[in-house]
Amino acid sequence: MDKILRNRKAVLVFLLPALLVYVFTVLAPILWSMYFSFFSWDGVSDMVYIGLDNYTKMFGGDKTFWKAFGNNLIYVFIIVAMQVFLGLVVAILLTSITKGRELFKTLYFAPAIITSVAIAQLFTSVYSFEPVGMLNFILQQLGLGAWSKPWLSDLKWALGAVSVPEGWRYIGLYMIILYTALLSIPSDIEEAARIDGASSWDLFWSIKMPLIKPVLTVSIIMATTGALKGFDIPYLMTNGGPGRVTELLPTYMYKTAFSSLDFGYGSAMAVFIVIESLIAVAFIRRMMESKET
Amino acid sequence: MNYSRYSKAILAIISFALLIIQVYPLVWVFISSFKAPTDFSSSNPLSLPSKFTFENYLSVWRKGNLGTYFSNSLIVAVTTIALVILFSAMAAFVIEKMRFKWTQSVLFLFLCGIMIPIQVVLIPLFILYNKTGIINTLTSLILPQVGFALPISIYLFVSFYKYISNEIMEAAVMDGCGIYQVFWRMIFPLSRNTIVTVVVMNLIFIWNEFIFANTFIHDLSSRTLPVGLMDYIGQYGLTDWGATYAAISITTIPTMLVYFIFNKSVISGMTAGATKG
Repeated sequence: MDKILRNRKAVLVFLLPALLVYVFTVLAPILWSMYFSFFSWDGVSDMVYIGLDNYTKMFGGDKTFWKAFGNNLIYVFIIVAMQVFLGLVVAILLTSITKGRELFKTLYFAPAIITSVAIAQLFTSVYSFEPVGMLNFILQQLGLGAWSKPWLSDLKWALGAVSVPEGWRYIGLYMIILYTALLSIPSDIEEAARIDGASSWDLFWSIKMPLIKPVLTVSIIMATTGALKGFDIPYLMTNGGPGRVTELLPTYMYKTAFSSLDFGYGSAMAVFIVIESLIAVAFIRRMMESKET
Repeated sequence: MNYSRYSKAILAIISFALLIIQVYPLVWVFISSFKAPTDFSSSNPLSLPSKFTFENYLSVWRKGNLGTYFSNSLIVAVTTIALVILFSAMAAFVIEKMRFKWTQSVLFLFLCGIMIPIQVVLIPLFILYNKTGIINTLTSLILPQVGFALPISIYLFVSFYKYISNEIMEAAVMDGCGIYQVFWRMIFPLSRNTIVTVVVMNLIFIWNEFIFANTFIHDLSSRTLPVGLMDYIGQYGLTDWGATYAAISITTIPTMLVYFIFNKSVISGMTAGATKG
């Protein structure tokens, strides 16, 4: 038995296909990206080694980079608030509802399975001003017609308008993760607290929240890293415009590489997106842990 | 939880309102796809069609080249998923069941992939595929999607294999099975439920994939549905609203069907993949 399980040749046969594809499409490209980021290259002429120039340009002189970085932070904030906060609210609601939980879960989750191209188009028509879209129409019906505006071309509102669809599509995902965490709390803990006279809200804040904190941390990390690499929906809805008000780092990186054909600078930004995600994860973990003490 | 009747009513109202916000836009697209062009010039976007017409669907099918996009998407999805299932089931078998020194490091290496943003591989892969000439072919979509689907799929298979006891493998070996037979005749068929989860979860991601398809494919004949849909909207979306909604409905219906038939597997797969990140 042991000999059969130690069969070296079988290990290779089983492992190599996955390992080869994975290394060549996921791991090695990261190293290549780092390598490219030290060059100036348009993909056609010779690569020119320029050391850290791409990085000094990125951090020093590029206003669009910092604009996109700032936009990205707002984008992350709106999405995390929608996905984790609203997801948690719905999860709590579901634990208190007895009828139709399964149906609710299935329907809440439905937006998560639709292609971002369709979601981008759906929200473009929701925000539409002329012909009047769903949002502006509802505002008018509520007597708030003065608030109606072309959301996606409004300099003040476009970034918010572009963030909402991404938040919206995955509320159901976080709702289910948090709901599962709430359900896994043993009911005798709840009973004991009740006997001690705890109200439902006491119970929630001082018992349930601490118990689901690990899951909450993971959810915040997922929502944050997901939003940091957010690309499809802003790219499709506004392509960074009007001006640069909805430009995010991934859309800027994409345009730099594939429209301006500046592969070196694009790679530097891609590397920055990875590092930024890693820092965000470390930061969130630190923050959630320190709250405990 | 035992809230008072009053707060229970409020909870029910809020959850119902949120449900409408989550679901109504999808229903609305579907309803709007049956509207006649004159219905869009009226000022009420929420109205029902004055009469149901299939004209939009016919016009999309005539103008939109959807047949080609649909079959490209199908080829990419089926090939990618077949490779993902095969490769991840085999790799997970080594990691969980075989005696091999580096299993934990290999597993760790794969799980790192869950964290990696797609953007970082776009430029190198574009250059590599350009040089090797597979740019503009469906292979350029299949390879990276297999790569990015492997981490979560391997994780799902590894967690399932934990429940298969070594005794039944030993019994099979006593009966004269070699290592390949143990895998093919016993372990692989036993993992049917995990296979279903991996299939439906990946099917939805792959069917909807946009960035690779938008970057690596420039020929009309190799486009997949999401990029085809984007082109259609870019070309006709401002003039033909009804047809645009019909095009969205056509691309969405396959994933919706899969979802409503297998919703438990879809949800468990996507949340498992998610919570690992």
